[in-house]
Amino acid sequence: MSRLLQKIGFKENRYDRPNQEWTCGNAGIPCQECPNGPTKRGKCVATTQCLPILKNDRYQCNRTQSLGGQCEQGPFPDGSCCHTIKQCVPERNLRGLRKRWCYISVAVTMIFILFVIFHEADNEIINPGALTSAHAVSTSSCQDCHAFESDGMLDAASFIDIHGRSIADSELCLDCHDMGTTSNAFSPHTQQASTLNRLTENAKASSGAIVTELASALYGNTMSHTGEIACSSCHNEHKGAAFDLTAMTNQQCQVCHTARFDSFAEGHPEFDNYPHDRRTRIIFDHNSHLKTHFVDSKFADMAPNSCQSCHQTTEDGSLMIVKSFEQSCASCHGDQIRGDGRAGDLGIAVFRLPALDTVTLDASGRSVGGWQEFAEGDLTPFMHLLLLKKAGFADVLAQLDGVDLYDLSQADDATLEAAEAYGWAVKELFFDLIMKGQEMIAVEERPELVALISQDFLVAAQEQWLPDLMEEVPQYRAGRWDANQHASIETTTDFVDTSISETALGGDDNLLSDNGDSDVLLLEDDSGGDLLLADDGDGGDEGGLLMADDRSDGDLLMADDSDEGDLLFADDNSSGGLLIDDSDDGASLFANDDTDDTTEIEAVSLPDQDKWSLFGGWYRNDNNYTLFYRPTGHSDVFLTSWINVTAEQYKQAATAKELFHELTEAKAPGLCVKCHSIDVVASTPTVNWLGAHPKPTMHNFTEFNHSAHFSLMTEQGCVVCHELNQEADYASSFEANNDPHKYISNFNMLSKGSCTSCHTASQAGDSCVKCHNYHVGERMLVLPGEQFIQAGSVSIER
Amino acid sequence: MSFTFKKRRITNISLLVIASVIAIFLCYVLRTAHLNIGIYSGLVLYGIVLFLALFNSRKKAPFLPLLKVRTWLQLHIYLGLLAVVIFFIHIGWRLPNGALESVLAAVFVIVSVSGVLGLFFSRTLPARMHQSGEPLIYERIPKHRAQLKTEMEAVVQKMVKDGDNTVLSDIYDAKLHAFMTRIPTWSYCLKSVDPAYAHVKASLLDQKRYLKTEQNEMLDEALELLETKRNLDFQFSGMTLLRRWLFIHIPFSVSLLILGLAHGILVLLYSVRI
Repeated sequence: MSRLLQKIGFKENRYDRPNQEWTCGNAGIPCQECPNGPTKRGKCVATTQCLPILKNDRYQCNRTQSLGGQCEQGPFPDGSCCHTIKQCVPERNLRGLRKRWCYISVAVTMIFILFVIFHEADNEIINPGALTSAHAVSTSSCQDCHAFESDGMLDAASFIDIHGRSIADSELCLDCHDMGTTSNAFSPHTQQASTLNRLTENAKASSGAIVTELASALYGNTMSHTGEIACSSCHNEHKGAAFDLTAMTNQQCQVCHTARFDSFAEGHPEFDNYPHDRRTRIIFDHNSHLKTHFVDSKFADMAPNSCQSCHQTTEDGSLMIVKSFEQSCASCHGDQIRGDGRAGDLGIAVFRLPALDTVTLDASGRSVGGWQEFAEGDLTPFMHLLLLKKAGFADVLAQLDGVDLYDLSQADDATLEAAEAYGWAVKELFFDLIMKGQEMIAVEERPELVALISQDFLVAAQEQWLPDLMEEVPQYRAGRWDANQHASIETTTDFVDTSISETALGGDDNLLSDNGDSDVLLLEDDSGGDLLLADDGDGGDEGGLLMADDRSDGDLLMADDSDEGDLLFADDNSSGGLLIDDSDDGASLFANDDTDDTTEIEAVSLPDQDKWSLFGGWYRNDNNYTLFYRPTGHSDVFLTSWINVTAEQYKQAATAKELFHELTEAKAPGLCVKCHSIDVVASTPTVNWLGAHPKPTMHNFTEFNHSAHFSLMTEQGCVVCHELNQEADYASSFEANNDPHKYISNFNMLSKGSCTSCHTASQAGDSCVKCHNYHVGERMLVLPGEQFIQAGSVSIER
Repeated sequence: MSFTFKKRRITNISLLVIASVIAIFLCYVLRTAHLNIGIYSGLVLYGIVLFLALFNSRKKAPFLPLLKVRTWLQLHIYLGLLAVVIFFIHIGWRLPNGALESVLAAVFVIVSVSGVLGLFFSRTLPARMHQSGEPLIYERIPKHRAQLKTEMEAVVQKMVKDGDNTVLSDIYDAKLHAFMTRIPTWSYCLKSVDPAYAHVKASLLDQKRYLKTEQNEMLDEALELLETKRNLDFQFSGMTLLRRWLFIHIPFSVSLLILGLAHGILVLLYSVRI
């Protein structure tokens, strides 16, 4: 049993002062406790147990009851107490100690804050959290992302204007993150306000979850006054290296949206023209191929047997792109590009000696020098384009508009003058092509535009068509051309009688002389045509009259081709050779000693140059004085480059437009547009050389990963989702229609139902960002400005 | 537990749960609205902490007609618990990893945990102390301890003198003196047994059979003093604990207010989102 220790009563207890911070150091020692206690500052003021009082002329003890009441000894005669108290060292009580702890706590805290403020590495201390890995390595200080740090201290206004500051900080984000056009960088979905307004009007207002509705109301009140959304609205940094900066809930997405819904399955709008928002870039009618061509016995063995024969996934799985032409199309269409089986010219006319009535010009004293009498046709668009660079040529063409240059007999002086300029312009073009080289053709120094045309090729044509060109043009340019003395010489090498009468028989050419080259009998005449057995050492292709060894037409003797009117030594029966004949009559005037008289000499005829150029390239046709280019095959650099160049200049130059249309005609050599569609945007055409292909910098609003869905395919393959529309008039999408968005697809559009079976919250997920991007449009990472300051060291400057 | 107390506790807990749910819901709404939860929850949290700190001031001004201290205490307790919920909302249910933020969070946790412990002690210890002897004034306990020691010495001396027996004096020197002069730690009241007390008591009881009747009465008196000392120790330990937890709670609360203010200024300075 415990006993009571504490007596209640003022007589039994001293007066305790728990509200004071100091207590007597002798509090635990009986009879030594000071009744007064220490001062507020903790000083002991103990003297005696009482202060005797003077009463009736005697000092009496007045010790308190708590200390035992009046003592037996009583005070000293001088009135002092006989019980002195031993002075103590006052102690702090709990209240005092606690107060002291508070002061220490405040001091430590303030020291810590001062340390934070003035510490050199304050960035690390006040940093509210680690940055994500990407940002951590690309930033070095707060001012990299916080604009005010670089601008100096904040003023009161900007301290309050957090939203304004957030936009200023977001501007710094653009140093590394390209968000497309700067004006729309902070617009929702990086779209223009007009676009957003239109989309908003299109959307049907509906209600979503209460959270979304409340959030939308809050969001509207806080953000709508500017219409700009700072990066930090969605991307919150300083939450650790592994924090997902792009995490976004469906409700967060819908806060801004007029049409709100609960989930993908419940309320998400039905797909609109998905996945096709435009016609295919490569014209390929699946219906006709599947139903007609692939089942045709002629092509059956080459026909693909599955979608994968022609399609493959991109690396990121976003697209099923068409395989290369060689893998998917060449087996059937490869030869068509080179023009096999094509009627007419297999190549495209690039350079031509056009028709010009030089007789009339000569008669009017406006000679343009040598010309081909039977030249025909107009300038090719290529020449047209090149000649327009010549000053005044456009006026010449304007003057000659509607004029038949083949017959100028009725032309007036102005027309004749223009025709003369026209003729010289053509000759100068040929001259410059030979002299200046490929740069004449290569617009903007694009080497692919010349297709490796050689000087020899041009010189050969010039020597054949305009043999005096190298003398005439310099004279003309020097102003020494006398039209009256230089009547145009019609170098019609096609006809023997003309050659003989004007050159071989009536001319002043030397016979049997040797010019030091390898000519045997006769040297070349003035007009360039060798007369007898000429071999000019340059290839002998200048249209020798007798026994010329070139491959050109018009040889008189021993010509080796059969269809050019050879007179002697013809090698076939049809041409009726006089001296050497391949018939069995044995008559031979210049028989070869090494040849057995009885042996039949078979002079082979050369094939047509266009047919000879099976794999494409340059070739010449002397019948129409034209230099052709035959496509080398798919992706012919020459054709594609010229099409691209003329497309770029389509709006600026009519000739470019003309050439573009010529090159992109349905039956034009190469048949480019048979498969490659042309999109016209803002009156500028673009030929789609490639099918749909991933563009890493392009971010579409909706994305789909094919690879992730392959496991869902059944034996039907891609048809599980991409159902062929057998009634679709696919071809009509490309007929007289250059708008890619007006189209009829080969396939039925996908419906939302094909996705909702799996894409629920509990299965494949139905997050908005699973399929949609917020930042849409073309953008790419921007490299910070850098500058080499020393060899081997790089400094990055903003 | 009276019905009123029980009813009050149920009511307060219900209000706390409702307030917490509303806070979490609002947090979700704010986050959905792309608003900065940190700023809003931080402002609310700092306001609550400031209000909680006023409780100490209110106790120093009992004359002010600002609700009863009892009401203030209830508000202090349940707003403190609500502050813990808002704190977790504020930090995004994750550990902060910034230096200043980590320190601040640690201080908040210390204040919160000390507060909860203080609440636990103040709800459990008084009842146990009431069962263990009389209620004492804390400041007088040293004096009582000295008084008991003196009385024990007097009893032992008398027993030795009367019985001409030195066994008790040996026990006193070996065990009893240490027990009577010991100052228990704050954790003493948390222990369910006191081995020292049991050991000393057993030693005294062992001598009972060898003592005369008069001496046995003195032994009973010594045992009574022994139990009183044990109760005194319990009272001392309990009251120490009931005061000492504030040595953590209050100083760290002051730090919390200062650090919170600095944190708020920094946040407003650097924040790019409201």
